[in-house]
Amino acid sequence: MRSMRWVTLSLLLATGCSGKIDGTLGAPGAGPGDGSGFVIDPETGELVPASELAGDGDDNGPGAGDPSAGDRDGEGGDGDPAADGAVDACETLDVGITPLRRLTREEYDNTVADLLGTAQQPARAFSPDEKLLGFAAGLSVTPLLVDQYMTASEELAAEAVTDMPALLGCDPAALDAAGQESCVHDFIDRFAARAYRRPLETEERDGLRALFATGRDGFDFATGIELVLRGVLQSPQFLYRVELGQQTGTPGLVQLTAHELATRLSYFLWQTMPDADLIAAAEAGELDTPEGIEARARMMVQDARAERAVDGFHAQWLELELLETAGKDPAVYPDFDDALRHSMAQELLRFTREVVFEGDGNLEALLTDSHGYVDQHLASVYGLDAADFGDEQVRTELDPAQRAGVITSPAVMTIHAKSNQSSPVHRGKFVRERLLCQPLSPPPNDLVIVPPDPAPDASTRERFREHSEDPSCAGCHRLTDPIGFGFESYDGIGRFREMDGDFPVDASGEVFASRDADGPFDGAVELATRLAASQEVADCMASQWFVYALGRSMTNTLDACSRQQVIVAFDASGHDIRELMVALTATDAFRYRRMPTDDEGGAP
Amino acid sequence: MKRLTRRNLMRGVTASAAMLPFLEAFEARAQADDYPLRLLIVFSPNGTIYDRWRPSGSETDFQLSEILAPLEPFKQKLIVLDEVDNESAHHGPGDGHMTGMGTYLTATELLDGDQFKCGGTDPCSGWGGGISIDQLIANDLQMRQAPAERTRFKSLELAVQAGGADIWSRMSYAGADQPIAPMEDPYQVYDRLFADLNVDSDTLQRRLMMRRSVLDYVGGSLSRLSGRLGGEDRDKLEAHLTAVRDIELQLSAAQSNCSQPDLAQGIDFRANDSFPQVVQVQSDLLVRALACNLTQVATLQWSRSVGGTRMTWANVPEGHHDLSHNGDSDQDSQDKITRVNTWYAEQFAYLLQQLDSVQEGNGTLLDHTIVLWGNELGKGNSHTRRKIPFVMAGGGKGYFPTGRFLSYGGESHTKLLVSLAQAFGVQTDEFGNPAYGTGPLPRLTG
Repeated sequence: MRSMRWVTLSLLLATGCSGKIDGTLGAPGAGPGDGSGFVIDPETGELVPASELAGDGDDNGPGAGDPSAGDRDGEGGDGDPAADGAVDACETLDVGITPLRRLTREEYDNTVADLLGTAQQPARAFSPDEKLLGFAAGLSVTPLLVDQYMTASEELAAEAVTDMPALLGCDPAALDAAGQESCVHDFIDRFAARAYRRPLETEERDGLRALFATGRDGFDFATGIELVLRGVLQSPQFLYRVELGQQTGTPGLVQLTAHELATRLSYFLWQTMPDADLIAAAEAGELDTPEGIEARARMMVQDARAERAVDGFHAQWLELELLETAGKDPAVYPDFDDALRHSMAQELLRFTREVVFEGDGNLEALLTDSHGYVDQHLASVYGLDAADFGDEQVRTELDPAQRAGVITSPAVMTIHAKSNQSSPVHRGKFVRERLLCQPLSPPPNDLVIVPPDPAPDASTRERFREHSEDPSCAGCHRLTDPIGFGFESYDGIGRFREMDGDFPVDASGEVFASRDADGPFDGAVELATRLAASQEVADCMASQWFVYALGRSMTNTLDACSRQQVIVAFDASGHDIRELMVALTATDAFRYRRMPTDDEGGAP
Repeated sequence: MKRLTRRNLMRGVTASAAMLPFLEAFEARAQADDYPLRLLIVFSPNGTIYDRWRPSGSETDFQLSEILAPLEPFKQKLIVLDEVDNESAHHGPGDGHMTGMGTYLTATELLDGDQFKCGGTDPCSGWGGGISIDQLIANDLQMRQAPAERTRFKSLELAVQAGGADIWSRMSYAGADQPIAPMEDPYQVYDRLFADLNVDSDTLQRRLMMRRSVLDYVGGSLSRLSGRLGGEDRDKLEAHLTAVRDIELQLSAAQSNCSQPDLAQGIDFRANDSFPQVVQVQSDLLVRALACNLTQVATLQWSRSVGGTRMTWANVPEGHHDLSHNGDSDQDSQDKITRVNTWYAEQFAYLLQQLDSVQEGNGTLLDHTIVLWGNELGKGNSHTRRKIPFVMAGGGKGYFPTGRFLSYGGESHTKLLVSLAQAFGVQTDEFGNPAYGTGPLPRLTG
């Protein structure tokens, strides 16, 4: 029985199991993917990470045509970037092309709450944010979203004008016409400056005053104010994080203004608009140097609002939204219901949040700490007595031989499983993509794949054996399945198990084609320990935080300096997540912007 | 969980008869022969079971298959298209699902890019690479029509549980890299389509005036700002500006005389078990929008490419996508995939029934519509984009003679899309990337 038939083996070898990495990947305005990818080594015929083949590297490799990046190591497998010359990559100031971002749904709701004190969360009804490498980046706008912006602004404005004195800071009913006008003009200046996150330009001020007059003259005073609110809330200056910057010596490269930096800091670290204190700091020049930004960022990550950034990152890194739609066959998993689903998601975010803010705060702890947060729903998943737990999730030490950090969490195990069984392929793919940053590519376009017919009386592992025995399948599946087999101790909803049906679980696995995590292992706990010690995983984490912070991926060449700054700082901190967040804000990539141009196709 | 039986379906059909009176005013204004031609494109995911989908027999004397059996009442209004390939989905970046979805209506390769992981011959892919056929036709109609003739909405995009915004969930594109988000929330659809009905004229005038003033201000802001930006930033703001201008046009369009339909309250439109109900409600809303001439061009997307709907109501507890991967000799899976696709055929039949129940002159709304139902794949486990299960219905005022089963031996679906464009009077022999076919699909016009 052949599980998979490729058209010819030579076709596989010709295309590889993935793309060749040529160093110029990516859409206009974005650099190559953060992952390595694989190529066939022409000498051995083996599948190897692209970064191991000289001169053809991705962002992990000494970049072809990028001599400065070539001086930094840390990519070939054993290098320590901290030991290399930090100066080289930063000799020339440059950063990757940085597209205009709009507020994400999360950012929109937080922002209108801060701006108007509303409890409405209109963005929950917006169409979903498009993802960049798994992270909502606010990069596109659709006609439906524009319609939703309009509707949301109308509902927000209608609510805001119900208490006019509170909104305006004056009582228009108690004022004569001149007094009203002056009150409204003050309000426009104050409100729109907060909404646009910078002082108003004359043209903007005039436009809003005219809008007020239109509403007042056509109907009444309150209508005038409603129009102003709607106008501000639908303006591009509010909806987008506009960064025009200040010219530098390099054409197309701008340095962010103090207000723009405050906005970047605030949306990255707090997921909302800057507050008055942050704006004041920006206006006082405190963000004019990398040291100043770093000091401010360090303060900001102590603020409770930073939990939003940490939650948002982990939810998206670990693809938690997939849990919302993960369906389980009730005949196989009768305990899986919405309450359990909700508890799983809540637990995972609580775990990551508390590791970052209360615990060791580092990547190793995220990957290896063996405690969980258990409530009555999760108890049975952990083999505990539900009667001992209530609705509140209680920090509980779990068996360290069974649990290790996020990758063995019930949430992650449930997401990466089928509706009625585990899934070594999906779990291996998850580790490959989200921890090693190695995207897997699909089979060639016209390949006809005939999937295996499962032998009904075999263990899960046995049923996937075909993948490794058929040489045409093995090329790709050796990247995923042997990692995924290590998770066979967890069933489709993350319960630890010693038996897979009638068969004892064999959770031995092996990592191939990584920079520094290769080798056999027994069980996911050992795998987690291995990954926690891997420089490749640490670099992957840093590059995903980069995507999250900046809404774009790092480019091979232009971001070489920023990349180095982040990795050096992350390593030096013992892989402290908060320090990684701070380090990102002090990079050139955070402080500068390369504007998209009409002719960016040829950009490096 | 509400189980959707054929009896429930028929009940829905009966209820739709109540739609007729509100149409009378509209009909009275319309001349018998000038009902507009409409386009409605439907999607369901993850391929089919070809042998159980393909009809048997000759072009005009054929028997519907197991999967298409629910369409029997409309057999004389169908054209089943056999062996039409999505050739464009075999080129460029992206895997089978991604290319199948992104080219379904664009017939253009996906863009290179790094938005979506694990696609393509390079590590990742971007969004779709060109305008979709529904948008091309909608634009062309709008351009050719005098303002007074234009429908309120240039087009409408509805979906049922399309999920996150990504290459797997978008089939309509305003252009390369410009995916169009469909409306998934029936209450939002309802508000958008019918909120202005049954409002007194003073209130309506005030609402319109306020919206116009604000949109005018916003449009000015967008124009000024886009002038200070370049490249994709400016493109983005210009797309935003176009959307603002479209809303302004909607405000200027004649208000419909239709009354709003009833809509059941409290539907959790994202819940798996609500899927059948949302499919039905979105169909009802869309048919009403077409009947009321709120738009001429619409799409309806059921789930998404790689969608994992669990059709417990069709006795299929597994997720659709997982199931679609199982091997050909796995009889249980084959049966279940058949049930999934048969269930979709029942929903398509419901949609046709609704369209056919709206009388327009001597024909019905269905007769004046071109309906196309397709899929991103031919077959789920092989991920082939050949032999896409295309079914057309309605015929568009006789433009495409119906009651036929046409076999094409591997013609490119690009030609099918050209045929659609020509049916709507678009003067073109090409659509998408002409490397994958030019000219219309032979024999389709009879």
